[in-house]
Amino acid sequence: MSEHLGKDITMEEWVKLESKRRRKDAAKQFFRIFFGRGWLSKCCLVVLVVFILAAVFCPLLTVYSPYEQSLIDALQGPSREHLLGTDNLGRDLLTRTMYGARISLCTGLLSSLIAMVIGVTLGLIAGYFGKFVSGVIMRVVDAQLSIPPLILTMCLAAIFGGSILSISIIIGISSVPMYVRMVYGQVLSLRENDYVAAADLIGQNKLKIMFKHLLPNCFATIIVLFTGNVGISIMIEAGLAYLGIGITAPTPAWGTMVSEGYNYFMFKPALALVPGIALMLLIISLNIVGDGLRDALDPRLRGKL
Amino acid sequence: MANYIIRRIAISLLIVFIVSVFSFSLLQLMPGDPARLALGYEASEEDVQSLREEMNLDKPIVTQYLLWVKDLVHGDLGDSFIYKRPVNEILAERLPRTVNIGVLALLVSIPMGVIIGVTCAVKRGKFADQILTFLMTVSMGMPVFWVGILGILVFAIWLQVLPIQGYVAPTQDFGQFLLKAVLPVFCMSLGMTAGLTRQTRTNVLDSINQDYVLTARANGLPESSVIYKHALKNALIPVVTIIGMQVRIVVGGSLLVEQLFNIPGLGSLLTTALNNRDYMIVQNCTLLISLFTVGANLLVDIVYGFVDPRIRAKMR
Repeated sequence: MSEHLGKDITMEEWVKLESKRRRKDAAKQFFRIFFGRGWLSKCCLVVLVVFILAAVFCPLLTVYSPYEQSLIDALQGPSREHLLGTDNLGRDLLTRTMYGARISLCTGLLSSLIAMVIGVTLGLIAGYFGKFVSGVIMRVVDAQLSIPPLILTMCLAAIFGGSILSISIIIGISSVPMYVRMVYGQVLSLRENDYVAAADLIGQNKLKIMFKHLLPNCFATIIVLFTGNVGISIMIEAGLAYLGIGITAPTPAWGTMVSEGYNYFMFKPALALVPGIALMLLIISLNIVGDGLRDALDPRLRGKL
Repeated sequence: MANYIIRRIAISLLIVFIVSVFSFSLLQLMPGDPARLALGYEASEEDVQSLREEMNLDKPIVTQYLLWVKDLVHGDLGDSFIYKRPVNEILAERLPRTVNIGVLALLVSIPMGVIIGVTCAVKRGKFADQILTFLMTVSMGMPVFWVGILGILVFAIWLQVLPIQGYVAPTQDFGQFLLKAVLPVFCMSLGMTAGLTRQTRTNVLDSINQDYVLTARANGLPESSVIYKHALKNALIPVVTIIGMQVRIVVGGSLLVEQLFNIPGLGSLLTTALNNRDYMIVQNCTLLISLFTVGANLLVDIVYGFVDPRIRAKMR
């Protein structure tokens, strides 16, 4: 405030300058907390970036195809041509693992996005509209919560088939309850604020109140839920692929690779271990980066999510 | 209190209804004609038609649902297409195996999670807290089947102290049962322990910062009494709800664990049934598992109401 004192400016200009300064401070604070969290979270950020780069640029990084079989080269150890060796059908293990990152990240991001859109909308509606609407939505959510997500996704995958898009939608549906419950709780308390009552009094549109006044106040929670959800979705996708339901054999999904590689576990454990380690590293680094994001965005959320 | 219990039961019944509609519609939505699947592709059109009538598939959908519920209540779950046996016989055979492993996993993970969580909270910021929190973050990032594969690699292949797979009924040979259950139980309980630890740690930290704990300290009570008598009592109540939620994670994990360790339980039954399109089993398994979860949550809610009067008051 003081830095603008004495200058000849109107109130309007002052508000503009002040809000700009506050936004800058908030951004600075965000980066300070996000990057100032010790070596572990820095390592995880690097790992995550490596996975994303590998997923995006995998066709450029390798000369092999993840599908093309070459039985003469089957089950080779690490060599100059095949850095991590080959699998039982002579496919390059490193190539398949990199393409696997693509599938995992794609399904993880897509399904979290779908869950977010559906869940946030339902949560807003349940929180803002009266008792009956919220009762119906919350009971359906409770019912869904009583079916384990893996079983729900398995049944839905048997109905809707196993393309990456349909698997993402299915996993997305299974994570909707988390968003609904969280947003519902937030809206219930936000609704009591004076500015919502004021907006109501001047006769503002209900949709406008929901999306312009209530939603922005939930952003921090939603972003944190989203990052946490990507890891969970990847885990469910891997579980489905491991069971052979949904995404199946020739597709280089990590879960499928682990379950196929396990057949050769006694004499070539790398086939199951490499994709498994990749899966583990990706989920752990996603979780830790997500924790950092949570602390940087809204420290009050610590422990609640 | 009676009012509270009745309300909880009513809500649970509503949830059971929604879940039953879902399970019922599975049979309708799955690809393929159930009657055709039951008889195989060589069966004549007339046989299929008569079975369709027998299975009530020709009636309006609401009637079908009501007839299905009526059969359920009478304990008639239909016949499996693949095993050609009544589904309730198969379920009765498979269920105890999953329950044995699942209950062991709960028995291991609940005390572990609470103890580690309290330790972390009491020693917050110190080395023990940091290392335990890190370990828990790592175990939360490991899919169940991956924990199992690592366990097999270390304990069954390298050290050769545990069997790779299999299941023995505890009534048959209790020692063998325990030996074979070690790895599956470990896989199932690891993720749960991690989640429980995290929640317990936050709850205890929260309550340590409350005024009544400050008062207890100011009155000069010894630190152990402050933590264990005053802070913990309140902090552990919400943990009970989380245990209710964990039941569904145990059941979900049992699918992966039973596949990996070759345990003929409910989870592996469901997996093979889905792959073989044995929809009667899929339908009933899903319903049974959901009923378990709903029941567990109801039980937890009622216990919760007994322990914490505030919850009862909130429900009115």
